[in-house]
Amino acid sequence: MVDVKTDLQQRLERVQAAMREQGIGTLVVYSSGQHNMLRMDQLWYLADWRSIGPSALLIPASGSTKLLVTPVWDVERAREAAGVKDARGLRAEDLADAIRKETAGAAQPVAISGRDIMSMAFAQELGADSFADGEKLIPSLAATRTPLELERVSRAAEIADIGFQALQATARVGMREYELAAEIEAAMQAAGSEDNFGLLGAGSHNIAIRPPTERQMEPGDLIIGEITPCYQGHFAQLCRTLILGEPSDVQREKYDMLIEAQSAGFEAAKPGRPSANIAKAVNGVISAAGYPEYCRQPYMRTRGHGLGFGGIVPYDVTEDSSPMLQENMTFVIHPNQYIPETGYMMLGDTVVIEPNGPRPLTKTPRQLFWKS
Amino acid sequence: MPGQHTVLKRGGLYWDRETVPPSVFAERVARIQAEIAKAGDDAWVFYGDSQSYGAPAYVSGFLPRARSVLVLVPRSGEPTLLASVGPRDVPAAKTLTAVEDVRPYVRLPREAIRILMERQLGQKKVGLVGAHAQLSEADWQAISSELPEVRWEQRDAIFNELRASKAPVEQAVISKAGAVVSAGLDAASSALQPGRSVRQAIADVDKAMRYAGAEDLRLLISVGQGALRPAHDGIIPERQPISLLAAAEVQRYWSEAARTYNGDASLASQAVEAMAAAAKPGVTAGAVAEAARAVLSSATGWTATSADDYGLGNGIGLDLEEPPFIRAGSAEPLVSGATLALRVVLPGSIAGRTIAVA
Repeated sequence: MVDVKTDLQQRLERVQAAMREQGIGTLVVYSSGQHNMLRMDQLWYLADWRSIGPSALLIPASGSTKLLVTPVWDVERAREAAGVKDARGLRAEDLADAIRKETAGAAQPVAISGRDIMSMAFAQELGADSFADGEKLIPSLAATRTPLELERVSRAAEIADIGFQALQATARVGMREYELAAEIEAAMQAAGSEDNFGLLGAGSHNIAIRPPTERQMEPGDLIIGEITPCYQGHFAQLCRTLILGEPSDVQREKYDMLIEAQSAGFEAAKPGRPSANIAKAVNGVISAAGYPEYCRQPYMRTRGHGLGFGGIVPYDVTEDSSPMLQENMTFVIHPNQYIPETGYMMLGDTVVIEPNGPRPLTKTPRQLFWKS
Repeated sequence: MPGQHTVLKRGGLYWDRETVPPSVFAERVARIQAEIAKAGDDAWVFYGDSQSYGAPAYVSGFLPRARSVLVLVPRSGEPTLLASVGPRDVPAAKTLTAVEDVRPYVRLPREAIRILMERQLGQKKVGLVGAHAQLSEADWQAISSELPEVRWEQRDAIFNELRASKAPVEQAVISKAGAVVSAGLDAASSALQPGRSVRQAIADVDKAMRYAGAEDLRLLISVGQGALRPAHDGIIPERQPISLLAAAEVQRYWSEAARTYNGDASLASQAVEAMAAAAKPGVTAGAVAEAARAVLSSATGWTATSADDYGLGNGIGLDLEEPPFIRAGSAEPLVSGATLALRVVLPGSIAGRTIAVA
């Protein structure tokens, strides 16, 4: 078990060291209260606390942080968070003014992150243009997982496995898609999941993954699921396909191709190599099987993406990706693919990069599942 | 009342055309186009995100599961909808909206500029609805700097007047959302057992609401005298009051209610009912708030402080929080057909329900 306070203090010290190096006196980390898989939640990363309303963490280049919390009634929860030493609750309409007043007497210059998620109204009220750009400082320090983060991503991966077990156990002909999603959701929440980028669709020939609908599942349906629970701020993802009925030879053959493609992606995922190699390896297998055009838009977007506090390095894994892989990066490798003969099928696992390559954190067997 | 926003709406998401027929949107677009003409504008841009999508959903029926959506309504002609989905997801997106012209975007400013130029609006007068409070400053700068000759006008006030009174079809959907909330609050009666973790109990409530058809939901809970908060790992103790606030979204419309378990919520309930009785057309939102405050201040040992912190209520419909806001001093008059989420949160007790002003 990793000591939470020590890990958080070390994160803060790294950020403060970078601030001093870059000549930033104070950094304001703004959260709108909205949460987005594609953007790292920088406030959560440092405070170990997930905002409900617009909030701001004020970080001096040296010394303790201060958290400004809205809505005011949520300050009690904030004060219990491991990364929060000083929290003040206030009304949302007072936040911009509070940030201005706090930073007026703080060490200068003041940089801000979160301008990209700041509404026109709030930015104008705050005078966001008067702050220096601090958007990339924290993400640049958070490409790899600390021991605590790895522990949490690993738990999120276990919860994803629990989610798929719920899918396996409860999926049946006649069930509505959203009822199945509810079963997965409940199993994962009970296991500790606090959010989920969960997609689930079913059909005899799926074009792509989509949200669950009221459709009742039928014999022969391929259920495709992207299960992405969040545990204490950290996301992990598992993608699998389950057929309501015995798979055809073609379905088995094409799914074996996806397993081969994912294995090739794993083989390419070595520290010191570009993340683009993963996409090239996956696409190489699928193209060689006769589907090069399906490795491009509109059929395919990415072969994986960073996972942790929302979207993080290496971001989207495509043939044009530039980040180099490092030990203790965590991300998903998913050769999810539309195939004309079978429709869309999904296979994806969260991995951590170790000296010899990736270690899957999700433990669900890499196979095509089915139930009669 | 806000709850914890999630990275994705993941309940059942579809358009029930029997409940909300396409003609609803045709009528709304016609009404909006009449307002555009009346204001002397050439088009309006409706913007929203997964947390607050009321403006674009009003004219299109579409809501974003994550990120955002923009709908351009010209003074005449058909609207265009920009959705933050990939090209392969457009067929699924089209099943959710009455708008025919649905386009995907990765970078909103680029596509927004493109459709404004396509409609020859580069030197015209364009109204903004929802953008001021929702659109990011970065996206706004990118759009407005590329279109320096467009005259932008804030049209939120006109839109808020248009949507304030809910039509019978809207009230019917809000009632359906209310039934989902009730399913959750009923499930909580058996889920909230001493010795279980709050998280496990909330998972049961969440499941009941999703099974009942929730597109999205919010749950906040308080055990004992503490503040409301999202699900957590605390253990439910014996003989402690539990306050649960639930909101559900069905066919884009929200409803909210609250219930106290294992405790006495009579004071909170009296205050809510006082507000419900006061909420008549023409009465101000401030007068409704005063009705609750009068009940609370007259009760020995209670103050209105915590109830004020949480807010006594607000309009509810396509957004979880819409005008009018029920607070002291508000001069905003209620209109017939408005739907309000009323609530009173006190230490150790809660009451709340959604009403239609009639």
